[in-house]
Amino acid sequence: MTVATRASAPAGARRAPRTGRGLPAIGAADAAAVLFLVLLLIALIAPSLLARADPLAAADGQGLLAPSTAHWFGTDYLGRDVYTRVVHGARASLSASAVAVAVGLAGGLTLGVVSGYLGGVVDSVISRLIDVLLSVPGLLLSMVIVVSLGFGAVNAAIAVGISSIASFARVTRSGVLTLRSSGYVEAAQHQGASRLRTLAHHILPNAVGPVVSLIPLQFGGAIVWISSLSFLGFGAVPPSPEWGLQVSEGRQYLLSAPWLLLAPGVVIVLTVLSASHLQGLWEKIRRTSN
Amino acid sequence: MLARTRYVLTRILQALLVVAVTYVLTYWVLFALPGDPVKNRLDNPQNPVPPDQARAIIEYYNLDEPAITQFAITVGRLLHGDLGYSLGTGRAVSDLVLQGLGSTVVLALVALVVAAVIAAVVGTLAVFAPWEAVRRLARLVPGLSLATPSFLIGLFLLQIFSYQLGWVSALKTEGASTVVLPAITLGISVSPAITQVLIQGLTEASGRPFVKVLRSRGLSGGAIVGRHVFRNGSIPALTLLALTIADLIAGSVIVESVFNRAGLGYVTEQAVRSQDGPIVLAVVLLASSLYTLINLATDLLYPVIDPRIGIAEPPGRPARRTPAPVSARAAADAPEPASASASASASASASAEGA
Repeated sequence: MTVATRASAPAGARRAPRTGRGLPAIGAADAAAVLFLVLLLIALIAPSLLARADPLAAADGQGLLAPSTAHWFGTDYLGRDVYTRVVHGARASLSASAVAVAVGLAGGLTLGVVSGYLGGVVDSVISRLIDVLLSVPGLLLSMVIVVSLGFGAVNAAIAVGISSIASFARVTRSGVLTLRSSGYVEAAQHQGASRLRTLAHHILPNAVGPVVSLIPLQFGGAIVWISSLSFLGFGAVPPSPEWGLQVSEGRQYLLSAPWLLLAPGVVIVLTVLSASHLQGLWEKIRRTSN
Repeated sequence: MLARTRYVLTRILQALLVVAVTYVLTYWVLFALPGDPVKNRLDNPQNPVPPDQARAIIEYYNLDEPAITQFAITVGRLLHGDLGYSLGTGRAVSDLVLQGLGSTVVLALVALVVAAVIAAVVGTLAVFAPWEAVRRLARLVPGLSLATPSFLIGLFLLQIFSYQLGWVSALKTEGASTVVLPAITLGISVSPAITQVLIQGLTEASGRPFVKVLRSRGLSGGAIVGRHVFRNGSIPALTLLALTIADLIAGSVIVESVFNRAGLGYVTEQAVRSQDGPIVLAVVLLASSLYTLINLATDLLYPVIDPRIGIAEPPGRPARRTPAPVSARAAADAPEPASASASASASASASAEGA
């Protein structure tokens, strides 16, 4: 959704109604996205507040029940409550995505800053390395890394993170390149600031902005990727309630119990949509405040 | 002209280098890091390899040699067209890859057409639909399809068209019709970035002065859009469409798993599952070569197809273009297309990552 709002920016900016002087209008979609993210946050920190039952507790004779007031999203083949599992799955899915984004951000920032600031041979080498990372499709690259690291939730997250280094590095590098030749950096250098000080005090704080605004989008992408790896069986291991794994487990009951798939699937889509919507909101605020 | 030849040569060398480095890095990640898959396979207590077979494998992979020698031997074999043997089945990797390639190429080509059609329809609606509501709705499509993992799209299509409506069998292979649902799934999953870039391109092109000129000459809206705006605004999207081909190979892993197709994606999935390094390496080599080749081709061909697109100078090097009046005019006339492929990949990268 972000992508869509960004495309209509020239037309949309003129049309968008504004409240007061600085802030953009908050629409129903914005409110829904924020509300959903708050729910996710609760599910992440204290899942028992939303679903008190045990996500791993199987119940005999309660298997494959259709959604009802007792089981909002029905039950799976072991009689486990799907709603509880989806809520508790937030922790597995979201923390894996957080790990992936952290790995991508750390790697990308480092490569991008070093490449952009040092320039010369180092820049050429790192730029080719980024080309290499980009030349392998993301999913394939993360599978290569998973083969090397071994299967599992954490390894899948690291693999997805490494695959996203290239896009973080590119954004950082272009930011640092522009800043390096800017007036105030030159001024700092003339005043005798060391390279490290220039980098830490003048370039990094200003280069971080565009990279940070990439985080929600990458976070959404990481959720999709990690759930894909789990779906294939390379990520989280049963009985973890991870969302992609739940879809994979519900797959055999596609005909008889489609809710097994519908609930985690819809939650994945809503999470990614909310995350990218948050980014759209963020950029709108940044644009209006500038 | 000399600068152009030099540029072309540099780009070709760079492309070769990228593929070579990709191969080397993948090799070391797969084979040289702790957890050697060949040794794991031989030492696996649950599935012991008979000693005589083990000796043959040890000799073929030169497991008693240091890692660097093993690597040199593997590269030597690669240059002779030998991709090695599967660790799981012992069959030649080239056979396995070729066997799966046929059905995956068909799937990928149909998916590419699907993606192009989706992008064209959604892009046209998003920019030119006479109703505001339709334009807004169409602009939501790329975001929505980006947020939906391809396995979900596939499973829902399967549920609706195979189980509920019974149009396509989910199990039997029935000739051409079985490729439809997988191709639609794959097409939808790679379409968001292309659609997005097309929307941007069309929006930008329809705001250019030539549209007003054509309008004042009395051309109909349809003719302007069909004959002029589309031609000017779709170049970045076409570049991206071409670059998507490598993503289709990776995407086929999930789609073929959902629809039980035995293509390259299935071969890859099985190889990852059994940590079959040689096959994974071959698939990476294929995908990376394909991406780099297409990237190179678009970079080198676009100046030929569209003369307004200049050759981007390699970064960090001063422009060395001859100050001919033609190029100056072209630069002033069309600052946007000058970086058509660059802007396409840049603006798409953010959205393409998740797809």
